[in-house]
Amino acid sequence: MWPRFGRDDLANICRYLGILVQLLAVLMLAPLIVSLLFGEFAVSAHYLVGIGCALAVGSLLRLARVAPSELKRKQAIVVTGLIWIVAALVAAVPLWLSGHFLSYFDAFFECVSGFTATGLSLARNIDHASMADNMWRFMMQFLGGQGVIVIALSIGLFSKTGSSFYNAEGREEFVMPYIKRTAQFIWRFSAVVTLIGTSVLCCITMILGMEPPRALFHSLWLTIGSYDTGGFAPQGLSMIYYHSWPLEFITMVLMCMGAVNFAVYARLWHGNWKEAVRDFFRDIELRTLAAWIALILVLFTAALVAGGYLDEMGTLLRRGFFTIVSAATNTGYQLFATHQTTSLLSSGAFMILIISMALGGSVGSTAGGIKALRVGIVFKLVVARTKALLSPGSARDTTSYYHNGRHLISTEAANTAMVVTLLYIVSYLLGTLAGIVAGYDALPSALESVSAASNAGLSAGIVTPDAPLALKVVYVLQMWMGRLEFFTLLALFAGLLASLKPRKRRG
Amino acid sequence: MVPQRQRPQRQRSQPQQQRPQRPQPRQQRPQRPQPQQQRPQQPQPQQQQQRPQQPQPQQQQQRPQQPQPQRHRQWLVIVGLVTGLVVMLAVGSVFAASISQGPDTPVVGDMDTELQPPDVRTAAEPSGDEATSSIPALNAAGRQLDGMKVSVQGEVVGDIIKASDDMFWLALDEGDSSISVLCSPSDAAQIENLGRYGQSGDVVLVFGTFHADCPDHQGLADIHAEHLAVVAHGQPLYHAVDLRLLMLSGLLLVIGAALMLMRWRLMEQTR
Repeated sequence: MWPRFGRDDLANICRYLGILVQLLAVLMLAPLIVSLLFGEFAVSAHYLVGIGCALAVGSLLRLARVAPSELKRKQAIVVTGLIWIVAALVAAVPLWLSGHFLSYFDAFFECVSGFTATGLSLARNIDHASMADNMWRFMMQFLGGQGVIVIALSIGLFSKTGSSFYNAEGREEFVMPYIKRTAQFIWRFSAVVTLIGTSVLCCITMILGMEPPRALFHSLWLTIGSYDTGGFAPQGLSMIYYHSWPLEFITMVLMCMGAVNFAVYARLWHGNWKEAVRDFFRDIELRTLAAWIALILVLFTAALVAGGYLDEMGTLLRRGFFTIVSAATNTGYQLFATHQTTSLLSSGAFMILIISMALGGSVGSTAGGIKALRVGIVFKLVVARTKALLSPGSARDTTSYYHNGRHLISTEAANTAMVVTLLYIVSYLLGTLAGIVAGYDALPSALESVSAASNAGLSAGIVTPDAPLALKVVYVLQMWMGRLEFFTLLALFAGLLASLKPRKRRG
Repeated sequence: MVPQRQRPQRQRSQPQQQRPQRPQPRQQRPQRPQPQQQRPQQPQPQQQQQRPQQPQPQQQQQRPQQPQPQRHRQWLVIVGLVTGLVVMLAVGSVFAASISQGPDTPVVGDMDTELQPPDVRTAAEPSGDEATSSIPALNAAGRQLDGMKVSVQGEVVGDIIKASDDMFWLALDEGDSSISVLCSPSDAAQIENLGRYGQSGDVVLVFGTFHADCPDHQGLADIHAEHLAVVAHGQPLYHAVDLRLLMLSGLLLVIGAALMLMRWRLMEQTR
């Protein structure tokens, strides 16, 4: 029998959603301050409305349950599943008021893309966007990349029920012994990386001739977009705008850092350098990721050379490498213009680009996708099964892997890896079919679908304000499900459906 | 959304008022405050709750006469929720109806300025065989126009990026399509206004060679400008502060604060 949600559950869910929505009101103070600093007073009004909405909606939701009560696991799953959508609905208010979106749904799409650190954008005329609007877009990516729940946990919210929240948000591993310390570590480490990345990029952008305030904010946004594997850009030309290989190199380093598990950084942070370096080269996740990027890079290069365009050594080293790193880490920054991707890449290179996004980064990182650990486990299982077939019947072999210590591959781990991989593949296929049904070509549809479900953000030009509404809804669902790795949302939908079904009367 | 009517925590704090239907344990409790601890085998309040409650006509008659803070609180919550929702929906619908021309429409500072791009044929330098193209058309053409001389018109946006000591990059916009233009310092010096928030950029006409896959810039799609002319100067774009938005935000903040205050009062009552 499926567990049902009662009135008490709903009241508690609303209460916790209300707390998170009120947190959003506090976070909107940042773009409000930026708008005041840059004299964008019309935009300040947008953010005041946003703060008012967040405060009113949050307070209203919190009224559903006045007395504090502990959150059950199934309630935590629903809160974590719904917060991405509820937060996006509220966060979309100031963006919609900015006039850069055709409809409220487009602004909502932008916010879902931001919170899930995807990077697909429906903004029009982004080159004339205010500093405050850009600040808010990138803040959403920061919150989404780190995890909304992680941010809430790190400031002391939900301390009693943090573990349920943390797992439901698509994170499996504790970096530190306690949930709050884990969240605080992620937050602190990310703040340090953001500070260093911003400083370095600020120097580069000032050398490129940008005015200091713009250089500072562009650097901050690029750091967030890269490290949180988000992929939003403050200019319409994305990374092409800067025409700087040192800047591209730094963002590539940040993208790779964002795709690595926080547990590796925890060991480095606490001074166990020797151990960290040793683990770094033994870890199945990092090995898989490195092997994957190398393999994809070779294949992509071969396909480009065979295609006859974009095949010069400089192009391959600069744009080819950047594109593959950006796709494989699920960031989505582009050094090829969209029209180059669709008209100059051979179909083979295009296909490899799609495949490169499917895998994603590490478990417990800011990246999305199937995750390298799961692919590594599946690969190990394939090898073990093949080996078992060749071995004598009496031989018993165990398969293990190294990831934060040596582990035997349990049936549960194998099943989880297989099922999640399968769910991602099904999602990629369904999204592709949706694009085809909407009238687009198969390959661009596949690229857009994989990009949305793996939270990568590369685009072949389908995600535009003119795209059909139904297709935008499909991509929103893909981004949402991909970020939470399916199970949280499947549990949410199943629970809600079971609750709607009338109870059978006995006798 | 509606909270449960019977909560164990609250029942513990006010046992006498909440359980009128069970007179025996209630009457005994004030006289014997300690026996419960000494005799754990006695039925606890939670266990009592699980018992099927049989209807007792006498107790039903007593119910309305007794003070019921919990019911009062529930009604307050319901009234608060409904009022909040109604007010927010009303404000939202009035506001949505009032926005007929779309959110935040900028107004060009000098209305006499012609921001519409002039006819390319009249503004063009005499060159003869270059292909006149829009930026979206250029991007769509890709391979067909690779290496050809083109003339393109668009708004300069963002920043002027230094390419080397003697060359600069411009970002040229038309609609939502952009292209990079490599130009000389003298060309770059002509540009006075860059398109940003609150500012439209100079509209320039560029003559140059289009590269779908530039050999000099590692496969970039760009135009190497040979000549650049400003055809319309950019202007400040005034984004007026919308008083309706300020009023709406004030109202929402007041509603939010009132709901928070109401919640705080209810919590105080619970304690």
